[in-house]
Amino acid sequence: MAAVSDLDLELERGCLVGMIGPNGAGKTTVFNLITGVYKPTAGTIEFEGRSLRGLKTPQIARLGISRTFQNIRLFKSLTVYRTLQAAIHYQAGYGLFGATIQGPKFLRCEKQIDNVIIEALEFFGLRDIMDEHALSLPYGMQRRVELVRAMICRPRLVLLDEPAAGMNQSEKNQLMNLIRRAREFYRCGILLIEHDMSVVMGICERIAVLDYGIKIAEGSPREIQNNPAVLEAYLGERIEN
Amino acid sequence: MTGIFRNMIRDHKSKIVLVLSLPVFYLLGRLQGSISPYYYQIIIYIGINIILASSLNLINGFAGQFSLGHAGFMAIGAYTSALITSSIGIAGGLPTPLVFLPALAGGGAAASICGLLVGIPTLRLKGDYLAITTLGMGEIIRVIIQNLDFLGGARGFTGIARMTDFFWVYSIAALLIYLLYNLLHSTYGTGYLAVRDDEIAAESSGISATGIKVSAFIIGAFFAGIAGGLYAHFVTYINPSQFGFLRSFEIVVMVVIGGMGNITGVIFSAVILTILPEALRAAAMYRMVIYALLLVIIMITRPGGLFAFGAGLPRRVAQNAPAR
Repeated sequence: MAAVSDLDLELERGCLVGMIGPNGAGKTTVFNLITGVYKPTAGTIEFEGRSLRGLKTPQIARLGISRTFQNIRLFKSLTVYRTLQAAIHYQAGYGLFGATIQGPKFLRCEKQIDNVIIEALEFFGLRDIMDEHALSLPYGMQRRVELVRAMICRPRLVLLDEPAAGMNQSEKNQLMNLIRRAREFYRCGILLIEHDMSVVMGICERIAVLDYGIKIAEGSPREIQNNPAVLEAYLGERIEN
Repeated sequence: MTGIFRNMIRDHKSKIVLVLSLPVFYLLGRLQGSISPYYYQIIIYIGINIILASSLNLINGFAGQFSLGHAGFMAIGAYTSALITSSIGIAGGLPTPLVFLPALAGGGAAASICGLLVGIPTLRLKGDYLAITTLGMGEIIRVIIQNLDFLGGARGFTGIARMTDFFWVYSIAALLIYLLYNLLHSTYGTGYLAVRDDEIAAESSGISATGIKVSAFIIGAFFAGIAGGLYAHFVTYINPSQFGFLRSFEIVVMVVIGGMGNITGVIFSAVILTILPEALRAAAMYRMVIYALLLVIIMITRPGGLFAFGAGLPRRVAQNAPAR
């Protein structure tokens, strides 16, 4: 049995695509395949003309693909500010030597990094809590920190794994707004996994539906809503039209 | 005008402290003659232990790797530098710094090459497995030295020139602290902490965990090698049994008691744990019992280290436990 066996998905620049499907359909596996956590046994994964097969996770991240995690993975001991510093680490502009010597180049780069971080904190409304330990924040805030961490490095594609999980309706509305604004501001494409239909239908331009590792439908929110195969997958019974 | 001056001081604070400390240490070093050899020896050992503990702090505390073989790096540095000074010394007549500096650097370089060799294959190992591998590496080094006749084998390497003094030990310690402090207070250094806290999340953010871990081992081993060189040229006689697992363990204890990733904490802990066995000599046969008891009590009451006050740094050891 394959986790993902028949998936053909194309994403254009700056798109907002959702991936839905019952639990165990293979959605997070797709993310793990894209980011190099799992190796595909067959098929191709291409990003901007480059094959991603065989690349390691940090390499893929540096090509411009970032992600969030289903069960939030924040850095245990870091403040919000330092969490974002970690996300910018690979774009620091200086290396180990520069970090220890701390010459004029280092100071310039750090100032620039500080500007980028402050700008992101303000955009996401996290400026006031930037020196708090990330893990001491309420759940909704933690999700937001993870979101900023994924976006601050200006990726071209962001993979969001159930960003609305555990949120109440007003938090979800805030989140949808945030995702829309962030996409415009950072000019990136978004592929998101979500179980909450109001979120998916609310912001996605296109939706792909997975079931048992196979794509069973793809289309606009309206098309998906009326697709009998989709309804059957979710409800497990035939819909007579 | 004063604004610019103040900014300059703020930006270069650590550099200024480092540069100012050097003449201070030089002057203090001149006072050697005025204290008893016993106290002088303890002061030298404190400095060497600060270097050992801080270099291990980079590997264990900053990068979150579990290395139990630090004494192995020290041994390589000790023997390599002793070989160098013995060979150059034969050529004779050169002023001490010209001989000692390349010897120490050579010892450090040899140790860091070993650190690279250890670092690369162990990259995938975590927690217990990495600990055992590094422990094994330390023992392998010790046994190899023991079986090399030209190094004196089990009989040891004698007749090493006494070149180590207060200035050498403490300026190198200051340099290491300076490097660690700067690294910790930089965006680049945050990458180490991220790898320690959550390697998967760090890699997804573009951080090369491999690069971080290897660099931690290389730098940590380098300074452990230098500490070994300083040690060798103080005691003038070294043999493999001085660099066994027990030595590695003593250094690990200093780091854990001081607080993993806590720069000042580890310094204080190195000082205290060097003095403690000496101070307990009065207790004669109960010395090691009391020492061990104190360690147990400290770990129960303050598991994050005696000096765990830092912001943004780990508060509890449990948070730093290597990922399994």
